[in-house]
Amino acid sequence: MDKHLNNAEERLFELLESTDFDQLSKEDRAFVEQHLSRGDYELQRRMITEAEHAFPAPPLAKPLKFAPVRLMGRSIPLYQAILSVAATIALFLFLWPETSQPNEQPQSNPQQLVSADTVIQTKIVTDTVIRYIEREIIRNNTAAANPPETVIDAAPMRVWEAGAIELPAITEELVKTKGSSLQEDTASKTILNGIYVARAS
Amino acid sequence: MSLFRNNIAQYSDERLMVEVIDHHSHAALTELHKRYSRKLLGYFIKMLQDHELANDFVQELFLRLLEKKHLYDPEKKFYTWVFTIASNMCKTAYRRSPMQSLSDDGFELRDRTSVNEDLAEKERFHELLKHSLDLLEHPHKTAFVLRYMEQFSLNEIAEITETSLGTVKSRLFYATKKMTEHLKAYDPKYETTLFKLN
Repeated sequence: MDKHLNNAEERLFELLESTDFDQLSKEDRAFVEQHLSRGDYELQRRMITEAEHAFPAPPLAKPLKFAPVRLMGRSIPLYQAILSVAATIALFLFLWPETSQPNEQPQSNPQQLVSADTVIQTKIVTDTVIRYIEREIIRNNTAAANPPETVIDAAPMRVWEAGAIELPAITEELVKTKGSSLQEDTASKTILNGIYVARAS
Repeated sequence: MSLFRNNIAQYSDERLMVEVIDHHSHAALTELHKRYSRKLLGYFIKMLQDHELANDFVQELFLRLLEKKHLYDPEKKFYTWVFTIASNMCKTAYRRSPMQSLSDDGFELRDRTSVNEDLAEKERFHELLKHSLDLLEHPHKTAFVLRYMEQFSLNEIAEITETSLGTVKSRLFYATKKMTEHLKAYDPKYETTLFKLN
């Protein structure tokens, strides 16, 4: 809080504002010298008179920049622009209330309202890798030279040529009525023996 | 509109302000800027001692004028009203700025000695005056700048600073006294010398 000046201070203030020490009347000079030295008075007086010239004249200020809002090529105040947008939205809401309120719940079945506060997220992490390796199979030249049919037909031919099995005997054995057991299968034994003989020969 | 633009320079400040209020007229505001921006820039430079900041303040002041136009009282002079806003802006900036570190006697010596030694006596005095001004408390500084640098009347200062006439006189009296003390503390030469004015 600034203390108000007393009468003496106020008189001193007015003299300081208006009169140089040399121009003071005798009475005023005596009054001043009761409160201030001449040096102090002149210093204060100089401060007051020279303050105006302490700063150089200011340069021109930068031009004023507005952020204009334009509508139909004409500047309009910002609040008018905001009001226009708000009015358009209000009109839209009025004309299409249903489309504008998509989150509104049906009133007929309020029990269907579900408040979910937990979200479960399933994340599938694959940790098995199946590798398919394709390899080229190189066929043997000998196998290619002898087709499978030839290889299959060769064995009975060798048995036949060796004369290890008599055809009537084996035929008789094969047509005999037998059970399901192969333990006493004479026909199989005859054929196997014939094969061994053919190989040996 | 063009007729308005042509005659706009002849309008009073208050009439222009009415145009700003009623029609949000940028042209009227630009005219007011043309009239007062330099004066306001000078005031801000003296108060803030920063040219760039002062320029920003002028720009901000006029934009604020547009936003707060409804607060304008047509009964009040535009000139004093705009300086009231400027004064309040400086007050806000002063509150936000970091406190100056002052020595025990409230006077901070800055490293300007070497520069000042090369200046002529009058320039030196102006430098010291600006320096002392910068050290004043904000209300005293405002009163001093408005009165002795911007040449406002005591009543206008009371209106701008929203105080009484007595408070304005008191602030001016003590501002001058404190500045003298600062000056003497800074340079003992001013302690005893009897100056020759001008």
